[in-house]
Amino acid sequence: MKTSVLLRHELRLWWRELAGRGFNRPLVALIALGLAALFAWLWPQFAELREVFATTGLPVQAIYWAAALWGVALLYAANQAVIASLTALFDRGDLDLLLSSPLPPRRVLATRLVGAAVQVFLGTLIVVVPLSAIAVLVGLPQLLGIYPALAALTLAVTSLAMLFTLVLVRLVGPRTARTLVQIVTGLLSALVLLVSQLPGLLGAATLTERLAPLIAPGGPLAPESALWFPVRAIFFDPPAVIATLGFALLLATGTTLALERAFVEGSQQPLTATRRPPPADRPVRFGGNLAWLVLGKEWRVLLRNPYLLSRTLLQLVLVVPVLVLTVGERPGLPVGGIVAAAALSGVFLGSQIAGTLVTIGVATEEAPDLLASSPAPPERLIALKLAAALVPPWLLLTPAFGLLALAGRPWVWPWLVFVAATASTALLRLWNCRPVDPVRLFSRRREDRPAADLGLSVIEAAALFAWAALALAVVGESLPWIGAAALGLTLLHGLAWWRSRTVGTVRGF
Amino acid sequence: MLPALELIQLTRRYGNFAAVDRLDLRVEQGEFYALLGPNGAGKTTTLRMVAGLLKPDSREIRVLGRDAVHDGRAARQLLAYLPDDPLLYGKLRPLEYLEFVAGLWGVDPATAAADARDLLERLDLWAVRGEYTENFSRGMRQKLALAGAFVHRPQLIILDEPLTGLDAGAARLVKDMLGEYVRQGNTVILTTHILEIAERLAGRIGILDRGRLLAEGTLDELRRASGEAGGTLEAVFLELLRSGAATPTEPGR
Repeated sequence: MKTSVLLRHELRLWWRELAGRGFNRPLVALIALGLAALFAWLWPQFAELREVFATTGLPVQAIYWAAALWGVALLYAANQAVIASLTALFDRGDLDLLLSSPLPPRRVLATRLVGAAVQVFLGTLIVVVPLSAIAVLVGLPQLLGIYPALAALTLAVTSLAMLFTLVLVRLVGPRTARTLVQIVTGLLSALVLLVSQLPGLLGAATLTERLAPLIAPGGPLAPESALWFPVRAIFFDPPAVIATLGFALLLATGTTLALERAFVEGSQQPLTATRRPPPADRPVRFGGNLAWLVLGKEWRVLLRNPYLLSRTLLQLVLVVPVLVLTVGERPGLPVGGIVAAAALSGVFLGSQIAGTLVTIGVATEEAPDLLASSPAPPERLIALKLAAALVPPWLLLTPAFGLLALAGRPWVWPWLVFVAATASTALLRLWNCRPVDPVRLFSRRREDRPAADLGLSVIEAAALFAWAALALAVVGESLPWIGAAALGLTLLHGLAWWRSRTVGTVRGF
Repeated sequence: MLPALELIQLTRRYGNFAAVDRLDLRVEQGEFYALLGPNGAGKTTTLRMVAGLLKPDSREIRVLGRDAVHDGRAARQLLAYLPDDPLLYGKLRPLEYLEFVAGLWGVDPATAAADARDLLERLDLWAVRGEYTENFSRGMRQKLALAGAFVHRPQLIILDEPLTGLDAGAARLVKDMLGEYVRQGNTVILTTHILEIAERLAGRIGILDRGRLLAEGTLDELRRASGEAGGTLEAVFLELLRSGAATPTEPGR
């Protein structure tokens, strides 16, 4: 079998998997709108850049902008490449067939690597194509260098991602490796968010001051430094393009040669295999109270999900500082201060956690037939599942309001808004809860709830912002805004109730 | 004595297609009853309606005298349902799973704890009690689900293909447990494609086709009905399906 045929097989599977998720018209329309806005914003910038190019050559600022672009692309590619590697190595069921065929395993691995790199590359095109189109239209054809630069970047990053994934499998076994990979991709996503917030958080002036010694003439990151060769490739600088592509090809070849054996061994380990000895025998005290049994079972399942725990902690670590820094004690904001930051953190973070826990507890219920065939009242089971999802964010975030109380700041109303917002999110999520396979939800990071109704998801998002508005109105003691937000929330809940019953997204047992 | 299960003109339609079509069935207490039929005959749909997982379009389901349609909770209290693909909680250990199931049925904790240990030992799962069920093989999952069905001491157990995925030893163990359970005066209704199980274990056999009861009786009665004297159940089953068993038998004995 030719390598090209193998690669086509690889890409066809990827495409069908992608197409299988369905064509989401509103989402496509939203993306098109976003791209049009990007187009309108970039046009004058590029026109200005063309003038500078015409007079002074490659400007210093362009190098740094391109470096920033490169950084974002690198993080995005790393995130996507780890996911693509995991899918290519473990999720697709065709490796047994390919490895038992007369094809050399090295070729299979190389094709998987290139296939994953192509997927990541194609994923970036949604932004890169309009970007390069504007560049050509305004007379900056040198920016077409972004294509070979990105091809090299995705190939290099995918090689490293595959190396990382397979080494992990050898070290800790496929199941733990999968969890660790999910945590790493979560961290990378968080890093993308933090990097995008960096200028705002530190202040553009502070950032420039801190970088000054590095970018001064003769410094390691000065514009003329050889270290910028991957960035110069974006501007179609021939030696830089050749060096970047050469480096990526070298890395991909080295990875393929080094990983051949690990690939064959790692990919043949079943995902159900466990390397751990059975944990110590812990006595189980049988209880008779249905409420404690259901809560206990839900929390056991949640606490034993390392991916969920890592995500929750990441949210806690990221969202709270970002909100405190943005809304914190800053002069000039109509409503600000630490109380507003705490109220908003409570609303956003608490709702996010409660929503995720409802999805896990209700939409991904693993034994719905057991619950439905039991004599336990279904409405009680649902109420207990909601309680199981609400108690963790309440316990996790209430201490923040306790600190406000200790500091003598107003806390009762913001805390009540936080409690109500999480309960509201849990309820709205319950109304938007078609069954989802838990393996599907966690194995490929599809925490976007593929079975959710788009209309209800929009209502959920709108309600979240209405709760945020209510929190700020409460902190600012603005009665008209409190009334408006409360009215909006009532309407949104009524609409969600009607919609959920119309489209049948309420899950019961 | 009240029948363990009584279905009267039970019907379930999917659009114009009747998966179960005016089905009459009566299974007495202490019986081991096998429900056979080709794929799509309506066996699983029937069992799911009895377990309260599907709502029938018309008429009655009575479990030990309780109306399972209008008083489902009382009926479900007395029965256990084991689907063909048992769904367990991957992040729970066997004893935790059994504790949860016993709690759903409101079993006394001390009794449930003793029964759970006994069941895990009998089903060779005690040694893996520290493992999460996500690490279990298909056969181990099937056995744990069976333990879950027994742990709340139902009077009627309905099982959909209970021996799928079990090795010979485990299958023998399960058959022995079901036999012993029936000898204690309880009732078992199962569906299976392994006709040898029905032939060896079942006191009565019902053959379902296109949602209706084609024939019913002991193996000897079915042999007579099919004209396959001395034939195996397989031969009887295929002959009855082929001939369409001109007139479905009267329900009950």
